[in-house]
Amino acid sequence: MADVTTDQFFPSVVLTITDATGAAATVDGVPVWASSDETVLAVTAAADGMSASVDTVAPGTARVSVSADADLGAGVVSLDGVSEDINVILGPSHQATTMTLVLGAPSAKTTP
Amino acid sequence: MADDPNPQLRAELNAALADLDPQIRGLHDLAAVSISADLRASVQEQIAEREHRRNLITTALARLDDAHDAMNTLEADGYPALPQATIIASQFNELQEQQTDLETAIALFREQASRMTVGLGEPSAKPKPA
Repeated sequence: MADVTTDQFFPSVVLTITDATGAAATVDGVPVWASSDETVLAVTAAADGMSASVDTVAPGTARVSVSADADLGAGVVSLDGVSEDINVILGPSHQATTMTLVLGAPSAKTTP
Repeated sequence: MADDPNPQLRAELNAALADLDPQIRGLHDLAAVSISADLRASVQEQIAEREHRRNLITTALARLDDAHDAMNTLEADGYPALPQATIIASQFNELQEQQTDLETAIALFREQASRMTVGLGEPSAKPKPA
């Protein structure tokens, strides 16, 4: 699990695609990225789908997933990848730091 | 001449055969003397069982002989050596052309992707709004 605050983001999330032997492989088309919970993480994929920027939105736990077509021909063979759990906690800039008391105008006491 | 493929088994089978032969002869002798019909039937049953066993052992020994003969034939054929073949130049060239075509066709394929890994990298501080 990766811990991160709402003041942070992942600027360079990288996708690695390999075959059964571990050698680099390619997929058909552009891999599609998604967040398992968009209220926690927001994903912005690069044009080629091989990387993304993942921004934190609010506290919670979510994952980044990627799907692609492994069949370079006419068929479709779905291939999925998923990140580890990302635990987002509240960052200092979103925490309360100041409490202000406003007295208002004084008033005359009521006579008994 | 090849070695006997299983001399231990051959010796075991021959010993079993040597035990059976006098049993069968004696049972035949017993069946020939004056005994009751029931006893004769029991003797005949034992004769049949032992002769059946003898036939099976004899068959197994014959198969061992066959295997020995087959090994001799195999060794006479040069076993285990099996040298590479030589062919005339035109045939060899044809083979090489076929090999080139096959390699070209095989190179059209590559192994399908089977795993995608998402590397998060290190988190960074968000840029402060202007």
